[in-house]
Order: sequence, then C-alpha cells, then structure tokens
Amino acid sequence: MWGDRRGERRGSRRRGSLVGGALGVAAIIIVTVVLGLAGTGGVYALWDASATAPGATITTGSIGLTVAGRESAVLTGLDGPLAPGAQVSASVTLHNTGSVPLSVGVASTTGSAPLADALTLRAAAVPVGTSCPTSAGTTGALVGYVARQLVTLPADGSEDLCLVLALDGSAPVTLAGTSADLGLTITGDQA
Amino acid sequence: MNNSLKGAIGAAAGVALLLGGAGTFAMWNTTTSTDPATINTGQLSLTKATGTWKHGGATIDLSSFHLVPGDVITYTVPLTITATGDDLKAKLTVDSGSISGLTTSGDVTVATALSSGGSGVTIDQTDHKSATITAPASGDYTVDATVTVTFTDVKDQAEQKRALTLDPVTFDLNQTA
Repeated sequence: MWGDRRGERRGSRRRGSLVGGALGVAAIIIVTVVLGLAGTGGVYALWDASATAPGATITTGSIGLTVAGRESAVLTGLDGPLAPGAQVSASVTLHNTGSVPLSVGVASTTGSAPLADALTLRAAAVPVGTSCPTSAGTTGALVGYVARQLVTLPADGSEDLCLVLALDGSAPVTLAGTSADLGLTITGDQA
Repeated sequence: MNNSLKGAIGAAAGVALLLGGAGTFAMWNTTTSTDPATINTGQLSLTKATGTWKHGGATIDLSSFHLVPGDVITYTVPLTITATGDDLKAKLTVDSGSISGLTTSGDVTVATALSSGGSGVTIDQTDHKSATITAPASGDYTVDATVTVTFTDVKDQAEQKRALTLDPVTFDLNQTA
C-alpha cells in the first residue's frame, strides 16, 4: 500500500514536472514571439512625405450706390413750369461706394395720372460735371419707364445721371396748372 | 559525503578535464567571405512649387481681389513626387479643404482635386483626391493640385465685405508597397 502510494506520488510529481516543463516551453515560445514581433516593428514604418499649400485670406466684395451722396435725394430742376413740347432737365451724381463694378439702371415709380401720362423721360449717364447731352440716353414714357444697364460704374466710381423730362406737344390744355409726383428708383446690380 | 559535495567535486573534475584537453581542439580551419556589395536605397519625397490664383483664366493677386456671388477662383499648385524603388508604390492624397469666416455656411465653398499630365500616375477618377504611383517607381512625377473656391449664394445679399480664411491644404504621400 505504502509502495503504491509512493508510486502515485512519484507519478504525480512526474506529471507535474511534465506540465511545468510544457508551461516553461510555452512561456519561452511566447516570450520569443513577443520579442520577435517587437524586433520587426520597424518594418511597418513605410516611407511617407507631406507638403502643405498655405492658407489664404479671401476678401469678399461689396456693393453700394448713393444718389447725391445719400441713399435717396430730392431732385431739383424738374419742377417746371413745362409747356407742351418743352423740356426740363436735372442731373444728380451717382457714386459706387462698393468694391465691385455696378451696372446702373433707372426705373420710374410714377403712377398714372393725366399729366404724368403726357410726360416722357430721357435718362443718360455722363461724366461728372458734364452737361446733359441733347439726344443721348434712353427715352420712354414716364409711366413705366425702365432703362437697364444705363452705365457701369467701377468700384468707387461716379457718373452724373442726366434726366430730361418733356411734355408731349399735343398735351391737352386741361393739363395746364396741374402737377405730378415723379419717382425714380436707381438700381445698381453687380456687373 | 552528501550529494551536493559529490556534485561539486564532479563538476570541478569536468572543468579540469575540459581545460586540460582544450589544446586538442585546435584543428585546421579556413575561412572565406562574399565580395563586398553596395546596396542603394530608394527615395520617396514630395515637394511643392509656388501656386497661382486665377479668376476666369486670368492670374489674380488675391490680396486685392474681391470675391462676389457667382465667382469661381482657383489655386493651382504643382507637386513633384520623387520616387525611386524597384517595387515601390505610393499614394498621394489631398484633404478636402475648408473655409471659415462665413456668415452662413455654404455661401462660399471649397473643393480640392488632383490632376496629372504625366505617366506612371493614376488619379482616382471618383473624387480626384488621391493618386497612385505604381512600381517600378523611378524618377520624378508631377501632379497638379487645384483648390477651387466658389461663391455659391447668388440669391441673397450675403457675405459682403468679409475676410474669409482658407485653411492650409495638406498633401500626404505614403508608401504602400
């Protein structure tokens, strides 16, 4: 019995040493693999290079249009008196306060009325300080008048807008002594 | 005499025997070696030339240019890839670019793209944001990179008189094989 137990203990010890030995070998293999991987880490650092295009500041433009230095102005010189076949004229300075060219147009906001319906308008752009031309410009009935792209104002540029108002030569006498309110909208579009 | 002592005596005797017989191992021997050789490494580098801003085909000075709705301006910069290697492959990528300082995001947009006039470089045709240099890579390859800035909002009176910041655009060249 004792002998058997000793044999069992010896066998157990042998199995233990075999297991321990296997673990030892496994540990060595694992350590070796880890060391091997650590040693080959540099292989994955492939070449690379880079370049950078510099950043930049991009400035957006602006537009702005003034009439006689303001956003709105009262025209003088068109307040008559007008006789059939006669005309009156006035000019006002337009200024592009923006940083991009503007295409300037004129449109009438004058409502239909007996006197207004008998009036024609001619608009022309001339250099600042220049007299109104005798015939240049865009002519049309005052009511519904539209003149697109009358002039292109460069950035910070100015022109005089010349307005010539004429009463139809066949205007009825009933219009004598009457008046009409004249309204114009001047528009500047990005050219 | 215990076992430890016996072991120590045995080890000492073994060492003595080895020392005593050392001379007997000096037998004939000879050596030879390979010829020396020079091994050349390859190269992979990326350089950037000076770029140019254009508007409508004309060169512009960005510092005095004013972007307005409908405008499209482009910045083109030539890149030179020097790649040397018998089995070297590389990939060039460009980021998407970005712009800041807008009142409303999307009023002005940025797009980047690569284009090439040379052989050996294949541009990804899906988004034009990458290029592949195939093996054997040898010599210089030229790739043009373009940054396009577009003022897209043409309906609103937006973004007037603003200083927008176009962020730097980065180009990365990576060896793939």
